[in-house]
Amino acid sequence: MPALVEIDRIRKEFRGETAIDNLTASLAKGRITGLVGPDGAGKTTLIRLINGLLAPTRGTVRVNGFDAARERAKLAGFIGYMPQKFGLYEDLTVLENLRLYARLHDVPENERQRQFEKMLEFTDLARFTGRLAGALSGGMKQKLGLACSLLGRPRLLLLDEPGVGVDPISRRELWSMVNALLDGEMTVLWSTSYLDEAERCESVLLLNESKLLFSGPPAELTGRLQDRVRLLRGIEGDRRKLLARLLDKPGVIDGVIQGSALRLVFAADAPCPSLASLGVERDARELIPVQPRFEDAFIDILGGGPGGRSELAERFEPLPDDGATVAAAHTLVKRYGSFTAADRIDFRIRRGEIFGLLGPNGAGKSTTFKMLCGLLRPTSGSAEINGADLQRSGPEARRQLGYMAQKFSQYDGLNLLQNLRFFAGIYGLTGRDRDREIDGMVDAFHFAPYLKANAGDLPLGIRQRLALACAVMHKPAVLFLDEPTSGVSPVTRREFWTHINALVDKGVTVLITTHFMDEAEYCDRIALVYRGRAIATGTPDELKEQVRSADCPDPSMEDAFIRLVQESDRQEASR
Amino acid sequence: MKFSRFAALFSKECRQIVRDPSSILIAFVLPIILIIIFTYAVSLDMNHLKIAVILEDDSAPARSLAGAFLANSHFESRVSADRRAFERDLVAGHIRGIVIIPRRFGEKLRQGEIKPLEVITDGSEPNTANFVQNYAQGVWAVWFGQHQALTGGTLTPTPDSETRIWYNPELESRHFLLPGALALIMTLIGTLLTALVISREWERGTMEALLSTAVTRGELLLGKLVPYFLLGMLSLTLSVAAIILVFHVPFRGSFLLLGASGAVFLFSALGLGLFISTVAKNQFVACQIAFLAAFMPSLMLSGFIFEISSMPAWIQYICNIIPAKYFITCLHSLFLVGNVPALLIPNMAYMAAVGALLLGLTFLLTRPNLE
Amino acid sequence: MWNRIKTLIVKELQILLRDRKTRIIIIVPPIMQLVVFSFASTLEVKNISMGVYNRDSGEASRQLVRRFEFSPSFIKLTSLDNPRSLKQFLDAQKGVMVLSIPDDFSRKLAAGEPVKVQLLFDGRRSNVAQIVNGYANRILASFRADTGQAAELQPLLVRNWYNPNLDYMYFTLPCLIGILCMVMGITIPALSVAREREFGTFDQILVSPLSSTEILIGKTVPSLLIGLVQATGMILAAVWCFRLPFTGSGGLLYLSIVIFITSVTGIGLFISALCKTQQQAILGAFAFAVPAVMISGYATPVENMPQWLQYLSLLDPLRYFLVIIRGIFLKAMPFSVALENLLPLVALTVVSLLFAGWFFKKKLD
Repeated sequence: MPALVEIDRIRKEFRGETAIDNLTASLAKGRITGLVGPDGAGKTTLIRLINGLLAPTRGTVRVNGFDAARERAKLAGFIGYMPQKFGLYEDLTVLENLRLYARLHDVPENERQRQFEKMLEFTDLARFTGRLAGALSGGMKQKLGLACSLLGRPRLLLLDEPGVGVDPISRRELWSMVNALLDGEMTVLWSTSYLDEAERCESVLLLNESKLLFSGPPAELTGRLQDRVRLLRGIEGDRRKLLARLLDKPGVIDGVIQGSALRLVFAADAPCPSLASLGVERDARELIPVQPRFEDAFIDILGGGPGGRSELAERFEPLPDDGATVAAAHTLVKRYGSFTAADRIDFRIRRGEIFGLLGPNGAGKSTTFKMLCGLLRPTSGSAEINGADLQRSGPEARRQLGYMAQKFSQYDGLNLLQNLRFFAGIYGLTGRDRDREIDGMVDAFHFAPYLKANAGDLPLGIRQRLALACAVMHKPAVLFLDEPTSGVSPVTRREFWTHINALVDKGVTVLITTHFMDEAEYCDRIALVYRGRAIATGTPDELKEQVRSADCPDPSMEDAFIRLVQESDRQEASR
Repeated sequence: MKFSRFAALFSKECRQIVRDPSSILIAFVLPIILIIIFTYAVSLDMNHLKIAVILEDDSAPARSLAGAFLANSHFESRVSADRRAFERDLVAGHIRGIVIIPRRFGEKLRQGEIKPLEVITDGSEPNTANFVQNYAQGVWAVWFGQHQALTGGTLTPTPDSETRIWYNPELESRHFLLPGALALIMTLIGTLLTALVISREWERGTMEALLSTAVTRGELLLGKLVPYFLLGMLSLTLSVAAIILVFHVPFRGSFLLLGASGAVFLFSALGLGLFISTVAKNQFVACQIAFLAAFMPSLMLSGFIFEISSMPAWIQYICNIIPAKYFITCLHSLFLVGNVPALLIPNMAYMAAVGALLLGLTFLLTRPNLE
Repeated sequence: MWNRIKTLIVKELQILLRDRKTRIIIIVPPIMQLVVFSFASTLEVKNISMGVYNRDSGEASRQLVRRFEFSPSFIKLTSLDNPRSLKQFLDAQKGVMVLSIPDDFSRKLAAGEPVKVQLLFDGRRSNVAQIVNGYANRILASFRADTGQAAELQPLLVRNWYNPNLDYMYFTLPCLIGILCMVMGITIPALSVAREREFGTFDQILVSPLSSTEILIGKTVPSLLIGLVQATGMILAAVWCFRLPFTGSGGLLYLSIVIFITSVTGIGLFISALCKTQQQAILGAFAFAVPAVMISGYATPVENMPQWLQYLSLLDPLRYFLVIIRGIFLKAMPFSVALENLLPLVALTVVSLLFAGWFFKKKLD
């Protein structure tokens, strides 16, 4: 297989810090290669090096035989690049963005119209050509960004996390768009934190701490875990507590909640596990072997997931287990002119529950979310937290609430410690209380090495931890998490869920939105929001049950999501 | 350098300008506001000066002199017998000066002796104080002349002088303030607005996407330069039309030369704006620098309001660097005098040179990658 | 409550002063501008260049020219010998005035016959022409008196209170302090809110237990503190470096500065409430500040403006502050007199803050 991109012992340093260390790899022509790794591993830097936007400190990157940095001009038009924060002009329309990038990519005039039509058909954006890019939903923006970078038919396509913040349906569409274009002609490097995507790549590059840990077909890595993954089913009692207990067992390197069951990964040298060897005979009925996934292998090669203990939750006093309704939406409606962003949303969340809001981009999740925490005023209906309407009741009601926004919203200009101090302060913590809580957060999230670093310069994983720390420092009774793990690597996500599970165990109520379907499995109940309405509400297993059919006997959460949305579309069409 | 890529960037920038209310505000609304302000609010010619006339003497000549002050069109005078009442007004700024016609003024005058008038001005506003003093001097001289004539007069003083004001015989300060305001307007568009637009591309991440395409830095710079150049020329046309048609400032030169000098000045202002925005990658710093390096100098150091030759030498050196000074000279001449090649040619050449220098520097400093 | 506000203030200051570059940007430019512009902004006319078109060869005309030559206001005399060069001289702005003496000047003067000299001015800068005209006429008058051609006109006994030598800087310095304080006082809060909105941190604050009053105070006090530091720097520079007399009460001055900066901060916050992006906030602040300076009475006394602009200037905080700061520096303005300008300022402060607070609340939608 000829290599289109050859990376030869490159090293990249920024102000003395190593971002890429002695990396050698190649991208096979006409193939799709996945680029995975934890946050701050150097994925974006690698992509920029291949693109010639950065020059390596040492070593060379050759694309199609040219030096990427020094002979960049010769590669113009050869490479299509979609940066993480794609440069769509939000004040230009869809068609204007396409036109702009078509001309910048030197697409000839006669060719242009044909390519536009193809791209609009591909992206299903034909209906929206006149809409401003800023008014598109997250998924549509990414599709448009992809379309823009595909103009001019590049031979090498570099995609930096195109799936961040994108719902499963749009992600599938992105994936099929790229695959349809592949046809042996185009070479693709796809950086992602969704490991199910990486699993579908022909080859993956796995980066960790600026080094290449693995390069090859994903199955090769997954194969190492054959017979080391088990599903624990028929659990009685609290599966979250059980998971926390099991994660601290020697030999268990990873575990996640999957609906009512637990999925466990065992160490290579661990003896064959059984209910007895785990000491869970009384808690669960069966332990059955299942196929390993790439994600299991990923966690394994990085040395296993975090333990089950949350130092964070240990700081919380348990709240009374009274089953009281903590958060409620009473026929919430939000209209913008003639457009209804949220239509009669209705649900109640009990204390100690994890409630998930799922839905495609632009379906009304964020609107609902913002109405609940008082950032938006509903057109009609009301939202209550602990029995108080946040619109009307004063600041004291908001003290009960912790909020983590979708995009990183700590202060870039402050260092980590200053951010912690600030958020402690505005929630009324003073003096010794404040110092104690801050110390607690520093210990629980292992912030010590980063205290003086500017929040804007922190790796994504640390920034998300900081955001969580700021949201929980004042020990709120209700936690609002809006896509808290967007773009975060699986290891960090597990750590997050360890904390969330343990907090819920203490009686904290959690309302969460996510695009990771495996995370939806952690929720006690889910509301699936689509076109402003809650089209389905129930436990993850209930939702999956709803779509079970002959052609889909064992639906995953993602299947459930997609089928429920399609079903709703069908109903809408038949009406 | 490829035309289609430039054209793409060009039309993108134009659309962004049209869709952002703030760029419309700066290019079309603020110029009109500035023109109105410089027409009505800023006038270096003083009228309606409020003064108090203290009549300490009650004789006929004293009252006639006080009447002369009351009748003078530059003054709005109030007459009183007690000066203390007005000292507080002077502190409060309600009046600009006090004219005191002293005790026994009439009596002394009859004896052929003149008791000097006292004038107290509010020195905290020296310009106003000067005007009070000069106008008072004028009132006094005219009254004295008439008095002399009535009481058996003397010959007309000789040599007499005849004053002729060229170019602006009505001595309207707006005839030079309004053309000068054009330089200020062009600075706002050329420098402040452009300084912000490149830093905005960095802040929003669009720069990375642009750099990854086939675009060259020449195209990138031209793609910014040309739209704002056209915006500036459009705004110049609008402002000139307003100044001439609505506010009736005479125009004696050629419009072609006005356009040409506007173009070269805009060129230098855009050069500065683009230079600032490549140096400062965030909007706050870019705006601070634009304010300091462009707006304030073209207001204060360009000869727009303040006379450069009266400034200390070291500041005059700074003034000589500032392109706005050269543009304002061109504007004054084109509006009030006509085409004066001896002025226009060197001034335009200088502005073009500054623009070329700054753009060259910007070109060199613009990196084609993220390093 | 105080603790939460303190937290907001500390955060704001940390962001503003985080690195050396921004600290320098906040302190150095105002003082630099104060220095340069206080020298530059003078309406005095000095160092005048003039032309002389003398067609007379007699002694009297030479004497007259010499008087101009030795006057401290005129530094450069150019002899012109024909009307064309005279036109070129004025057209090309080589000088602002030409003294034109007729060929029978000396003869007629000696004969005691009336004679006229011509003063030709470049009217492009009308105020300069007027002032130079004044100078020239004074020289002519003294020439007349010395040659016994006119009855002596008793000069006025002029006393310029507060500023005996009419030093222009006495006027500019206090005004510039006010203007620079206003520009900073508007841009700092306007930008800080716009930035928080662009970066999403504003939502984070809105869901916290902070009330809108607390947010308002938390945004006002930092810009007030920075404004006070800048003002102090500029006041000290004015008094120490420029020897500007300070005759009034320091306490009253600081009270006025506090009220003034608070009122412009309120306006800055109000502008930021209307804007979506930093660029809009910057340009919006600008679009307010420039006219506000122009109608404040700095460029031209308020009473010299048309009535409708005078009414408009009643809404301009700078108008009141300039009266106060000049009064305190130069006129030892007592509290009772300052009060008539302080009260409207207080009213403006209250209104602008109420408006800003109202907008913050409304922005929730």
